[in-house]
Amino acid sequence: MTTKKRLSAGLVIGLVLVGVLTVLVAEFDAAIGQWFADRGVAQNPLEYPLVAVALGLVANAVLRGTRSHAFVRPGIRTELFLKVGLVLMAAGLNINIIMKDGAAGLLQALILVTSVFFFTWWIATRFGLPPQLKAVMACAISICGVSAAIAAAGAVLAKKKEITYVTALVIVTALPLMVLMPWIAHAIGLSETVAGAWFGGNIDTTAAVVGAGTLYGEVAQQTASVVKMAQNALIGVVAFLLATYFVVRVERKPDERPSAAVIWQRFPKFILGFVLVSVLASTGVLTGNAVTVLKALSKWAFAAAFLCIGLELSVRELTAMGWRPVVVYLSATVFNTALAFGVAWLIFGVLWA
Amino acid sequence: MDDPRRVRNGLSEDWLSVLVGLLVVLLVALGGLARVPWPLFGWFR
Repeated sequence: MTTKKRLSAGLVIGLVLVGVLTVLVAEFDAAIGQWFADRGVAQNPLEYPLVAVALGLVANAVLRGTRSHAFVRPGIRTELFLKVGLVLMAAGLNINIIMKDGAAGLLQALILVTSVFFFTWWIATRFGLPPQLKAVMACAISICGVSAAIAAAGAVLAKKKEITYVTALVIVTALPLMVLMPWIAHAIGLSETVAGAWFGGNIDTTAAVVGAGTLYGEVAQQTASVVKMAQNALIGVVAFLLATYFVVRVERKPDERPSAAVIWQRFPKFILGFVLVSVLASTGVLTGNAVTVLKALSKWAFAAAFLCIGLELSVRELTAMGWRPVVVYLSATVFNTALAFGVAWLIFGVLWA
Repeated sequence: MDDPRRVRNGLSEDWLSVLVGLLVVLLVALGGLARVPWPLFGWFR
């Protein structure tokens, strides 16, 4: 079989596999909810994001054990399912709320991205990491995980193994945060808005942000998503600044300065779809029944995305570069967690309350 | 040779998600998708 045919077959079989497993997630979720309801527990403590990630991890182990993971890999499209889910979710969000949370989210993002980026850069310098790895890591932690890592890698000509490494770190860190942060927020009694802003400002990958928000409540899910999107919107600007810095300061080729068009090229376009669907819903083009159906469909898309987080987890890459990058990443994540908590509380709990 | 600083042309995942999302919205708005149950089959109930 040629490589192209093999990729196509892997894509189709991978997508079918994700589809079947997502149906299983819904079936398990309903059954678990029923089990708790029969015992007098109205709120199912094992919400569907947890069921989806757990099932994804089990399937991941089976696929790797049978050496078929690489074959179905093209169908494991976390980002695609997540972005479709976010576009559909906008049907349940008024555009005024998006603008309000988006403005606050943008302010939060400016503070967090700047502080976390430079903190990561500083600590990575102290640990002697190479400039390209520093840039990819700082972007992944301060903006939005995998997609920021890829954008930064393009801007600074990072090696493929550095992207793979940071991607593995992003997912390994995001999974426990997705479960722990809602639990901590609940323990300290955070409002859904502040908790959502905290998740959005801290967890690196957007899928896990939406997962944490979903675990905490519908308002938290919406706030977390909008705040994370505001952060994602900065990716183009950071990629452009990084590319300029590397060309001028690291490579010393000032004549090859990148074009500002990078800002638009790297802009996450799904945000445009998100805003458009929200405008359609807010102006009454989409009626009540359509909104209900779209919200249900967004839940299906999110379930597929959460499943894919479990499916794509790989810890093998983490052994490739030793312990120093892991220490840098974890230190920066702790810093991000603490700072995001303070900033989210200040902006969403006090200034925008 | 590919320059990693250049953004790939073609339909990116971002645009694909917008396209799929809007197509679904259109189908739902036109009544093509009237109901989506969670779960689909209720196998374990």
